[in-house]
Amino acid sequence: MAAMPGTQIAAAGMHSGGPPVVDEIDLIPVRTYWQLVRRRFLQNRLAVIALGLMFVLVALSIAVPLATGELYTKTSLTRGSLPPSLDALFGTNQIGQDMFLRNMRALQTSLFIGFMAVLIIALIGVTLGAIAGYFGGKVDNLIMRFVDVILSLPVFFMILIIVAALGKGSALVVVIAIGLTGWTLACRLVRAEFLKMRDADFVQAARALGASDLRIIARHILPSALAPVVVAATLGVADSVVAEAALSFLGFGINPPETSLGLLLKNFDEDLLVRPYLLVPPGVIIVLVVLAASFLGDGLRDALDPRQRIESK
Amino acid sequence: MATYVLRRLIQALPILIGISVVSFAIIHLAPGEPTDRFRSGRVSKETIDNLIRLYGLDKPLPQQFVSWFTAFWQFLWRPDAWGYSFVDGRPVVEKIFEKIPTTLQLMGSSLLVTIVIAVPIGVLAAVKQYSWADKLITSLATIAYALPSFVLGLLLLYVFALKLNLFPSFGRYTLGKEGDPANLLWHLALPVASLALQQIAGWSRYMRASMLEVLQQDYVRTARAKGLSGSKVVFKHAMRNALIPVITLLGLTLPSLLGGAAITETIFSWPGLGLMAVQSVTTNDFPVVLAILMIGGVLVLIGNLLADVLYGLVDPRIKY
Amino acid sequence: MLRNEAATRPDEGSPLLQIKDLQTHFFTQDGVVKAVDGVSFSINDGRTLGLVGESGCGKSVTAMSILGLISRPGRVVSGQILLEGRNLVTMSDEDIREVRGNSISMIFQEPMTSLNPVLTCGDQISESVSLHLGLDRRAAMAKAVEMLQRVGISDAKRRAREYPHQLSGGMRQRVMIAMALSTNPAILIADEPTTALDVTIQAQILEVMKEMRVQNKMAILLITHDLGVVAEMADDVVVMYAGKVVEQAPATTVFEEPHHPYTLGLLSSIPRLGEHRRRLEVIQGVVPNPLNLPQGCLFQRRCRFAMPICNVAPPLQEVTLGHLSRCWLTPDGQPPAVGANASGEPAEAAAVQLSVESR
Repeated sequence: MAAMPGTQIAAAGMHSGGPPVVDEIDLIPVRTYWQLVRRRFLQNRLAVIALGLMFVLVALSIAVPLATGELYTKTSLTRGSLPPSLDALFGTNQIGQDMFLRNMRALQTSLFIGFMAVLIIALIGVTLGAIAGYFGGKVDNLIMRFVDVILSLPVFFMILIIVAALGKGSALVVVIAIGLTGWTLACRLVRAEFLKMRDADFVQAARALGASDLRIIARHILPSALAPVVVAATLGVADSVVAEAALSFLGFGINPPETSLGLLLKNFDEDLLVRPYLLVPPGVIIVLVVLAASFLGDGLRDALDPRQRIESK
Repeated sequence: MATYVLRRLIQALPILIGISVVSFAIIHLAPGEPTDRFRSGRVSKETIDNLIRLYGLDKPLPQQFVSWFTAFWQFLWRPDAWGYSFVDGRPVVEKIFEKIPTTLQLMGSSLLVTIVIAVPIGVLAAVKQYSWADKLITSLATIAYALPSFVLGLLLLYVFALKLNLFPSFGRYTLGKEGDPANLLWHLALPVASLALQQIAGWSRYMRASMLEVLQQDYVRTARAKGLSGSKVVFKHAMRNALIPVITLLGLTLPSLLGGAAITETIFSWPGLGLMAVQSVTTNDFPVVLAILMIGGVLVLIGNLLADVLYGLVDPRIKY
Repeated sequence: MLRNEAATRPDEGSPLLQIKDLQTHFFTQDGVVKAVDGVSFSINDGRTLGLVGESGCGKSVTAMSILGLISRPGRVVSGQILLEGRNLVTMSDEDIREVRGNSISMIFQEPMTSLNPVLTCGDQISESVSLHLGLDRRAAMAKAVEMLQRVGISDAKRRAREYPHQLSGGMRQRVMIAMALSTNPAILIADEPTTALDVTIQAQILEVMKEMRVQNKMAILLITHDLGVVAEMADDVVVMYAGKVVEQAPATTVFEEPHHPYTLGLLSSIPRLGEHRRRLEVIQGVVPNPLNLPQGCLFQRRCRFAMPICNVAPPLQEVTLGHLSRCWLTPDGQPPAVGANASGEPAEAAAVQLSVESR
């Protein structure tokens, strides 16, 4: 058998590189979109750190108030204005409240408001953006002019006024005020995606099969248009936390005995002179929240859409 | 050119009406009759009657809007066009026009500082992409972008006014030195720094991204293939193109500067529109609030118009 | 009266531009891409050399390497590029800027995007002129207008004041040519100069280039994937595949007696007038992944004549005088006698193998 020339040649072929038709280039494993997204995200060191930081902040804001209950409101006449020590990590204020506990409680309130506001932002933004992008024409024009109007008004004034009109001191009012004014970016992003997809083949196919507009919007286009919303929402958390802090800082947000990160800075006139150490933790925490949210958002954007990476870097 | 500006003005008209409607609606969000809010001890009977007449407060909402809107635009010759302050009874037109220069000083200086600093460092970071300079600029910009103006304001106040005593902590002029430009600049330093830093961060990142994109364009390759020096390629060919999209930021920056002014003016007791806005919202001085909101919107529209004109000047592809 | 050639050239026979074993690599995150891997060729005074290949074969990277315009993550790793004996690779930044746009000019594929949108056409041409010829603003602008006339733009004075977006694609390519030739370069590198244009405009642009070639007595390095353009313009042809030269010969030889199967494939994929063909042939498969090049001959996976010996990379060897090819096939296109190979198989065995694989 070994003497047959044919087999010998085949063996020679095997010897010098295997069956020649198989192409190992084509054997690069196929990954799904989400596997690729996850890989790209995990490769981004800053984004992973930001995710860890956000996780720590959220965990602290839940765990500490849960474990210590109402202790953050407890005043003490003998323990007023203490600088930071092992006993009170962030010191105490003039009425002897433990500032570590108050900061953690404040973080909880601020994050809660931030996340809730983003929920409203996403809800309004996605709905209006989807309608504008899907139906186009006059509806689109009307919605986009409305967006222009909102963008022309000084947003922070509007939030101030809405809060003043609906009643100061309520977390819910703050959430509504931020939500009502902050949805323009999400709306524009979703609209752009819908404009792109509206005439895509799979949408045409669904329409040909008799799917209703609502079904096409919700089932076919929205899932692929959500990537930018996720990014905008993550970045929106940072903006909302800052907006809340600014509101409380000016006395329009949360009222004592509750507290928020901005409220902890409100007494700056006196604190700067007497107890500057009280202003450090809330300031640093706000910056950490913003940094975590923006790096997370940037990382998500890069991971979800590698095309934009080139543009932004 | 004139027709272009005119056309843009006409296009801005619906937005202007939209701004008015939204402002008006927000003010009327508060529950209760609009007149109820005026019944405060500090407001005289005739002020209230004046307002009811001016705003048509006894009429249905659409009519109220129309009468308010038409009254609003008569501010040049009617001191009562924007009503009277609930707090001190002075005409709102007078109160606001007093503060506009002060706020424009703060905002204008901040914008100027932003552009003068952000554009060069954005270009530098792009041209030297991945260098230590780029990394430093990008990291600093990221941190600066995360610093809310009130946190930064407090930090600057503490370090430069209270500890180092280099700059004043409040006000516009030292008592007795009103009108002295040097004294004004000295007072402006900290508020401008706290208002501008975040803008510088944003603008430089945007400038860098825009510049990076332009540097990849074919015409930059053409310029290099001509044998031009690096600086000529960067400044004559690339930067002019990279600046075009940055102009859009002008329009977007104004509202955030205005909002930032509310906080910065509060921290540094800068007697401008922002401080007045916060005070008037606190005291429910609605005529003042409404007027400031409108002025803000109009300022932004004017800013956008200026940006459009600038676009036309820089980019020959835009037809008038 | 003539150019003092003895002073600028080491010896009489040396070519105007000589590229020796050029290696240009890109150091990407995923690995090193050898975009140009040992390319050598030369261009003589007044000759036109067609550099041919599919997109991604390294022909544009070769051109950019000549002008020192390779930027990160790419780098000319080794080799020489000699312009009248001076090595451009080792030249200082300042010196090579003096070469760019002066001794060697370049025009690009995309006339739509290759001109700066915020500068007038006249500005862009006169910029080159005043830089390299040292003319003042007005003289440079006059020269720009003259160049626009020479490339066949009517109403050149007005056009010089216009911006690129006001011109059509063909006009813009003429402006590019005017700009490139305004400094009277010894060599023009034309990177796919007609690819982005309509067929009729293509012919006009080629006509302009031919005219200018005669007027300026310059050499042209014509980079294209279009063999029709090569047939019309080129004296010599270099065919590149996956970063390497696979065939090199005078143009007539390449068209009449192509040797490398890749060149054969390229030739049979162009339609010809008056020939009755069943259908145009296409080269099967795709260019190999540059990050993961196969062993041996880079073309073997797509080659109709692939044989066992192709697992050993063939050298670029002379087929006939002045005709080089990187293929194991004998000069008359037969499979080689593999007697010298380790397996000791006779030629028929190789031929059997050939027929097995080409099924």
